[in-house]
Amino acid sequence: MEAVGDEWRIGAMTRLWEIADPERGARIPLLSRAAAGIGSPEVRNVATIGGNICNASPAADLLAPLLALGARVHLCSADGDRWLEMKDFYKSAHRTAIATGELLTEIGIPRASCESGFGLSKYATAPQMGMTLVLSACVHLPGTGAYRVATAIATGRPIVTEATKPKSLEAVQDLLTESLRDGLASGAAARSSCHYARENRQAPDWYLVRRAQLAAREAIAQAWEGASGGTIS
Amino acid sequence: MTKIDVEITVNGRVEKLTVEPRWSLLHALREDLGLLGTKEACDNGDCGACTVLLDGRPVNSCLILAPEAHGCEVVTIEGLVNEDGAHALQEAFVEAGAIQCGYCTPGMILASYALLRDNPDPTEAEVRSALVGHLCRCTGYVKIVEAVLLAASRMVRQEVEVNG
Repeated sequence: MEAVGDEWRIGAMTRLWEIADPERGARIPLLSRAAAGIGSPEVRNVATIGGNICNASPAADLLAPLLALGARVHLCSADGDRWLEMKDFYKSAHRTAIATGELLTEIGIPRASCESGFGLSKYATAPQMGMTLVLSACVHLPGTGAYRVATAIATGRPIVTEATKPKSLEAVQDLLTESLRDGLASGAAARSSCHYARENRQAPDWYLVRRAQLAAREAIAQAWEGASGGTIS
Repeated sequence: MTKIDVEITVNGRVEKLTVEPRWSLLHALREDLGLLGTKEACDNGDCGACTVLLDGRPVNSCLILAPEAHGCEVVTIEGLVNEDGAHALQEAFVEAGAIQCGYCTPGMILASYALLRDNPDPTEAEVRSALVGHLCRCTGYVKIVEAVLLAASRMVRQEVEVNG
């Protein structure tokens, strides 16, 4: 992890334990907290950030945080290289925009999006080692005063919404969670294409949508508190 | 399939192996080196039975290809026993009755060893968090957690007695 211009750059082979480590991951606390919630210590000691996002599992815990942070990815091939915004990287379950012959080499994260309040809320099939069903990540952007939220029902594409200079916590929560509804509903409906979600069909679509909205409200509240100088839990 | 040569330090001894690229570290340890204390169960990174220390960190050896371990140091459960006998963790597992079939025990002990090395006085929650990747179908975890805390208290006491 190193500073290049106005970005933090993370190599694709960086292990999750390094990102989750409170000291090493302190520069990008949202990503650090998300990584700390993935799998077991044994898994985090082996798994990499590149593997987590290239596998493009709809349950991948780092997709939504990277979207909230406004990250981009560096792709290289024998024919050259390119930078791609994270929002254009994930296509659908287990499909990305990586072309044949390309490799992911590093991830760039704007430093400005790591310097204020953030929030993360997750709902999984078990508190630890469970499959993530809903995850929401929120970042306060101090330059514009905006709040950016990425929320996923882990069967579909994460939805990114943004509110500029909200007047109150309740206002930003209402605005952003309401604007999530349609996208989340289509994500919940996509469960038939996702094997582990089919195994969790006891949760109806409306419940997952509501749960995702509550996760987004919680993530926004945490980011608001952090941006206001409160303690980030 | 073409085999490749790898060199892995296992329990302090340099081992030269010729492996197929697709073999897991678990396969190499059990089938090539006969270290049967490392158990195979899910073969999928879910159960923790195959846990070993790779360069000091606990990993699921079923998820590591043997060639990936080239040049690395591996410690298996056999490596915890020294000339003084069983490790304090192993003794605590026996005393606390934290063993029934024993299949998950090597992985549990190695993960606990890594925890106590970095955090000699863990809370119960920290022990449970360190062992979250380990499944036991017999004991229900209570005695396992008690055994780790018992070993921790003894190791801390020993440290105080030795170093004052």
